[in-house]
Amino acid sequence: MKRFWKTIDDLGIPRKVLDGLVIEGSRRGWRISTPELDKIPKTPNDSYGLLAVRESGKPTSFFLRAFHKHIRRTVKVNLEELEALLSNGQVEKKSESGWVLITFDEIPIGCGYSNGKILKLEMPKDDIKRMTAGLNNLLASKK
Amino acid sequence: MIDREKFGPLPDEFFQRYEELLGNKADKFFEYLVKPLRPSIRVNTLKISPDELREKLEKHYGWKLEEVKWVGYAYYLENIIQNPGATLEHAAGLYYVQETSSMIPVIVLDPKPGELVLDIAAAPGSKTTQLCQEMENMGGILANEASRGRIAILYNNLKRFGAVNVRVRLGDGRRIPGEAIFDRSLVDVPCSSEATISKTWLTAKRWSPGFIHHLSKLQKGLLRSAIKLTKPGGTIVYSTCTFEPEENEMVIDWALENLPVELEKVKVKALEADRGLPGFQCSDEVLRIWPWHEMEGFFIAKLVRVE
Repeated sequence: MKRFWKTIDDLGIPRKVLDGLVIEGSRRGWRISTPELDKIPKTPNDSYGLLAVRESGKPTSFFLRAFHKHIRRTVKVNLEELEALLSNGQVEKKSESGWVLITFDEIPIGCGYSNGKILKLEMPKDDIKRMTAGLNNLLASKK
Repeated sequence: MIDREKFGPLPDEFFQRYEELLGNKADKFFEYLVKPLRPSIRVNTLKISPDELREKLEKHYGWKLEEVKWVGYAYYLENIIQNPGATLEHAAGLYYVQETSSMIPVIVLDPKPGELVLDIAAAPGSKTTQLCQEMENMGGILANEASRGRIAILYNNLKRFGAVNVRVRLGDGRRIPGEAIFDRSLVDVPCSSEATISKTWLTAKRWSPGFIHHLSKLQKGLLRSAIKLTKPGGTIVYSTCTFEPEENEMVIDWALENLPVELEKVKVKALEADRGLPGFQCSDEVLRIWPWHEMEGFFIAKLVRVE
């Protein structure tokens, strides 16, 4: 749990935002859900809630997007930087070090990692594909 | 004169059936059935306000968005060239591409934050995610899905939407174990999907009276199960995207005769729709969306569980 809260604190999410939610650890990481879900009978292999932070301390892009309004540690990128991130996986960008939420025009794009100088994209492949298709549409509209 | 080619491999029996059922409205029915619909989206109000999203989509893609007044968090899209499901905003889960009529069942169910809600046939998750936003991501939803193939789409949509209040169960909705714990149940059942003929010929290919009869039995089973799992006083909404009375009014009349439920009138403010086909016990209380309402066809009934 220490690692979970470190990630939450590092991202600048006020802990009270997660008040009333159930945070549960598993082999994959920490999952958040609502207490009412416990009242629903469980069956083998069912799935519930949202995987928020992986065992390594890396936040999932789905979690960051869901709580984007509460995240302080965001890195705003412009169109050129977003293009570079989605095609090369990284871009030179000065920012606070650690896990971050990358945003473009206030759209929560997903998880990134910054060493202070280089910003790396840390999103699942399928997610990158979907974002790239969206970016291509946006670029086509601008022409 | 109907241009049968537009309807794909639909058999003559389909046309005869609706000519008999609708009389002088049949031509209008066939004409509108294959007319393309205005694309529409539902805003994920858990992540963004409708105004903010409209501003972004108009600025980024040059679309024109017109508010769907009776929903409050949906828009019709105009001036679109791109696939509305391929934008940055969509990938970020800020909206869901959904036919407006498919938003009605959740509006009628009217779930509240903190409640327990059953969605008995959940994939691909359009209505489950709408339940999430209506419940402000609180309370609990059991999203049941019988198809292993479709459940992956449901998972992805729930993650994209940012749902934390859903438990997903893979299994037959007719065999969900447990007591009557749910405050509300959504029974949006598998159906012959006649309203989607303009989208896919698969609907036309598999259409037959035998298939409809088979579906009707399945629908009754799912409705029975949902009623059993809903608390006395709880609400059950039954819906389909087909026009067949055997899958609609006849299922509701059967439930009224055989199960512990009462019927409640379906009301949606400012929505233009018809009541049920005449001659059934439920006719005056249910809602039918026909193709001439310029939405995908839908049938919606509201029931209340009694002791």
